[in-house]
Amino acid sequence: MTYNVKIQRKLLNALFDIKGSIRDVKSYLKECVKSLPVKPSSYITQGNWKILYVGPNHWILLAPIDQEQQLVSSLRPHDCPASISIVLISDTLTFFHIDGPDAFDIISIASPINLNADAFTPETATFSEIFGLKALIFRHGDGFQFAVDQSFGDMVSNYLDLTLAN
Amino acid sequence: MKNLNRLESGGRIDRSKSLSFSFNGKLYYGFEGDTLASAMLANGLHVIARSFKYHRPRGIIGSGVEDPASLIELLEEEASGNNLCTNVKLKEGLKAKSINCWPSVDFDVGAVVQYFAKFVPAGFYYKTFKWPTWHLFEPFIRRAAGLASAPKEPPKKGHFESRNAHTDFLIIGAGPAGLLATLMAARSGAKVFLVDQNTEAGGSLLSLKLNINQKPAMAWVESAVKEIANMSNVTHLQDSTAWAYREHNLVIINEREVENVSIIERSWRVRAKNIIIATGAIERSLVFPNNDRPGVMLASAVLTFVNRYSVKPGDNMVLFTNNDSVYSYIKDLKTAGINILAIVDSRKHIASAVLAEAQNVRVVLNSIIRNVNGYKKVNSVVVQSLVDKELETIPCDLLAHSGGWNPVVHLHSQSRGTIKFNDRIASFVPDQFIQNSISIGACNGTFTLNEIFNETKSLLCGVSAHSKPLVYEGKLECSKQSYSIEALWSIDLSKEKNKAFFDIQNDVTHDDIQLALTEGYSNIEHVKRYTTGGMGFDQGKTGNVNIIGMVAKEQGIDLDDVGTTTFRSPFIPVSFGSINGVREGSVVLPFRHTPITKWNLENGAFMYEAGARWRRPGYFPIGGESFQQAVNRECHAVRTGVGVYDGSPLGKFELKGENVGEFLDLIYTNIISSLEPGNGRYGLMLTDDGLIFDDGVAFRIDKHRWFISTSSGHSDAVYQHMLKILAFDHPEWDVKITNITNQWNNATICGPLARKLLKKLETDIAYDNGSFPFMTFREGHIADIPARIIRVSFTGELSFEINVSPRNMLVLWERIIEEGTEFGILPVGSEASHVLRVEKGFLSLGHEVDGTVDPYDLGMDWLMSKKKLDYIGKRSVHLRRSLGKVRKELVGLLPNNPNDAIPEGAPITPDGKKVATEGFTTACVWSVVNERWVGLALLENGHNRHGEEACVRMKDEIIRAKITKPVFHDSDGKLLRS
Amino acid sequence: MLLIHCPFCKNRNETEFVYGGPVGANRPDPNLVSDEEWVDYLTMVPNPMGPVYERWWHARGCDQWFIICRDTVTHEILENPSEEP
Repeated sequence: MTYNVKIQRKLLNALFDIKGSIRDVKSYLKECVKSLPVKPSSYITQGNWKILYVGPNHWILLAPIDQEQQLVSSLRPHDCPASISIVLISDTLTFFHIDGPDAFDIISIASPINLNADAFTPETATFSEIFGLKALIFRHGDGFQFAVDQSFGDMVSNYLDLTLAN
Repeated sequence: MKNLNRLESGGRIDRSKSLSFSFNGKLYYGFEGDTLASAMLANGLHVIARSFKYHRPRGIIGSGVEDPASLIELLEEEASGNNLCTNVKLKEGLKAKSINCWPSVDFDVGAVVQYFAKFVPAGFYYKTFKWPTWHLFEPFIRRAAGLASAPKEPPKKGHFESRNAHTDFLIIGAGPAGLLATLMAARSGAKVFLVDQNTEAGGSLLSLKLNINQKPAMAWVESAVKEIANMSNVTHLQDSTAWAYREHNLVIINEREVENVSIIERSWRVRAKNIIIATGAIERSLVFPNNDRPGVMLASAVLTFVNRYSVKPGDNMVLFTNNDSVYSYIKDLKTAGINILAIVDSRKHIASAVLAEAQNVRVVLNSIIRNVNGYKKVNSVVVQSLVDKELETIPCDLLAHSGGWNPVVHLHSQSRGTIKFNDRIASFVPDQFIQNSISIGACNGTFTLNEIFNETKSLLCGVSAHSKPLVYEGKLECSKQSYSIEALWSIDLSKEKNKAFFDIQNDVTHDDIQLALTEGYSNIEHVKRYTTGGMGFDQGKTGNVNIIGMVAKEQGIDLDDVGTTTFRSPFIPVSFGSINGVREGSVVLPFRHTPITKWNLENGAFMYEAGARWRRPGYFPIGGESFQQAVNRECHAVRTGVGVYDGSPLGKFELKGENVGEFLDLIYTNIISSLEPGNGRYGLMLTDDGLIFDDGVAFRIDKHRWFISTSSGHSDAVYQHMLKILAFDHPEWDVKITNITNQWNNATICGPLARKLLKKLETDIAYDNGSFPFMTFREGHIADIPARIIRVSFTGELSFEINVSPRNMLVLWERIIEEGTEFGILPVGSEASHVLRVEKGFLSLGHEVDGTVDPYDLGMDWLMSKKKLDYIGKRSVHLRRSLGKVRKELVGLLPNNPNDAIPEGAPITPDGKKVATEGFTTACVWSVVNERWVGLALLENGHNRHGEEACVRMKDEIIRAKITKPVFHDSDGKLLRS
Repeated sequence: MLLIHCPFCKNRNETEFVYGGPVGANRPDPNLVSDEEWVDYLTMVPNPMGPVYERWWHARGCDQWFIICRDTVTHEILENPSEEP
């Protein structure tokens, strides 16, 4: 192994794409989400959920897949007001976990984003590039997690294999 | 092992580690710490290569990246093309061979070229392009002017890598200036990158024996390197060249020796807040006849081979100079046992302090080298006095020369910084900085150690990338040095018969430059192109300034007015592999899979890319079936029974908000906003210049929610288009768009038996035509899977597009195949899908829609709303049509001979004559329902020509076809609504 | 390779963005302009040597379209351009 890392391709997470003004979203979600991240490209955790602020008026709620149905019931994507859009997108992204001392190296091979601690803080969550693809990236413990368009999952697996090849 | 020319002691080589290598099949030995060049010289090898154009024997001239001559090819495990042997680190078992010579480097038949040189002058290529014909000379020139061949196999071991980094400081060069800058920046706590292209740090101090604080300078270097190694904020790369300086302080570095052995080379893209360029200077050649003979070397290279590699390149030496630097070498050269016969100095006077260093050495002032004797090795030089023109021949085996020093301004210039000529050092130095960088030390024209340190300290004070100021506390007392020069771009070469080279790599001589000037190519960029001087792998590192000086002299103008040619990246040759990184093998082309990819492969699908990187099944051949047999079978299933098609790649978007209806009315040509929930409409999107951009369907889910689908290959473009309109034209609208392309996969069942299959699959959705008509969608379950079923048809048959989440796609697919077996269901590939849509005359992006057609051209003007005041493209379509010009319009083609296939793209001309085309074939397929070939074409005035004959003009024949309506099956659309 | 400042994501590599051309005139109401004015709107875009306002889409980032002012000669991205597009 070239790098001291453990790479896992994860199965599904429950993902909800949430769009709307911060006021509308906050008030609509107040029963299930205590607060929203307000710093651009950051996330907060609530229990085993993550709420990521990934674009202007755009959040992603990430939760374990076994809570998907429960979240559909409480977020009610089908009948939220016109000013808010909530769309179930669990299947759109495939996640990779990169753990271990060399996780930084792997991401710096895959992505041009600045990973230095002052630029990419423990709270950072952002869309950037992984192997030329749009990817959601955030820190996870000492390592990183990233997610790419599910249809590119096999290609990214191959890329990671090539990166680690002897 | 004993090397012929190896000194008894000294040097920065490890004599306990002997390494064997082979050159042109012969075995030699060197030591750890050698380059291939130093090991070759140690073994007495002096003819390394043959020159590019004249095949003259060439030896080692420089000691590093500046060497213009010693190209070799590495073999076997290290296989790579054109390497400078001065840049190749010696390794055990290294195998190298000469290039550009046949049968051998010692006896090269190509060398006869030099006797015909006057027939191959500067500008030869350009002239033969015009007359008589380049093709006459091309094969010969290409063979003769060969470089190494590219390796035939990819490297057997390891892979390349490319990575990114961000830093506060990037310091390029680990000589005295770069090291001091690194200490200052690193001690402030800033994040620092230090890169240097040598195998070890020290720069000029590796060769010059100077003192810092009364100790050898290398002791200071070693302590600095040690301190840096213990700082976690510093990344220190040796054997790594910064070869490109791009926009916004991005520098690309090629790391040749990676600590991790499975990485052959690594490329770094470093984005730095501050860049400190400390790239040193390169010694300039002098120009005199036969200045390319093996044994004629740069003086600094001789010193480097002696001091750093403990190799004596010759026994009896003459030095030729126009500046002070060689005088400081005398002591070291003598210590090495080299007999210095004379120093030939072109200057009239030199400082007495400089002269004092030449005790017991004959110094011949106001003189030049008039000629060099010897073919494969120098055997004597001819010295000429500039006063009385008297000639004196001095036998020797080594001529070392120095024409002064060129600051390495390449990266500064690549950063778009400007340069100016400096008279004091007779060379170009940085002037204006455009990006956030500074140049320090020799690359800034500062040549003595004391001045270098002082300059570094004072210039870094002004840098403020980091909160803390940069300071160096501690004394730095250095050996005394001085430097002065009198420019000598070339000795007087009028009436000279022998070749005097300005650019040794490209064999550019004095005559070539004269010819360029005579023929009017006086701009320096033209001189470069006409003569090739300064091109090639060395980019004129040792010779370019001489060419500029020569042009200035001939025209009687200043060097600043001549200027320099553009310094381009790469600074040194870089392997493609390193730039490319890990992108090789299976990922050379990006690819996307749907969840049933594995099923497709297991069921014999022939897979290839079909737009937007989707790797899709083209067709599913059984046994020994041909392409056409497999496609026909799949089409037949859809037309007579049922087929299933994986339509997952279709672009899909959910739109939500108060203004979605208005928005869709703006981007589609027809009215979408009036749809009731559950219903949809086929629509066209145009660009604002009135041409078709995409087609797809839009469905309303509820009052404020809609979904649309786009063609698979165009979903990213449509997404971009929609967001751009919302951002700039209608920021006041409330429309939120979510890309759900990969949230919904679909299996489309199509064919007259589709409804029977649906029944068998079991669904809670009422699917009779009355309750679930064409162009509606329903949500519910099928085979216990949550699904959204849409009644659209891209085949013209009864179709149900069953959308499920990707996690359920394979289960659904296998159920469909299982339950469909009794109806003879077949999986349908993209080829059959293409046939089915052509039979119906449905448009396809990239075929009928090529960015030049509007809805009228395709007979789809019925989709253009007359009620809407505006939609994207409306004004332009009407404006263009009001001009009344002839348009190419969509028609069907029935070849007169039903077995004649027309190649897609084939041109149609009036009567098949060799005149301008009047159209072209956009598609042609074997129609299973018509049992003949049918085609579609865009043809001038085609709508009015039904019934006439079109002539497809092929290379050897004309295919005649009847022009028809562009539909060959179910022309009134009963089946798809059934 | 430019380093582009996205209003939401801060400095990012050029490869994350899609270029959307220089900022031309706003789209007029097509029913209120002459043929010439319409054609001008479609075809006339600024193309200076020097600062120009241009559109970029952060395709591999926050999905936002935004405008920057870039000097076409030096590539400098002006943080406080003198006039609005």
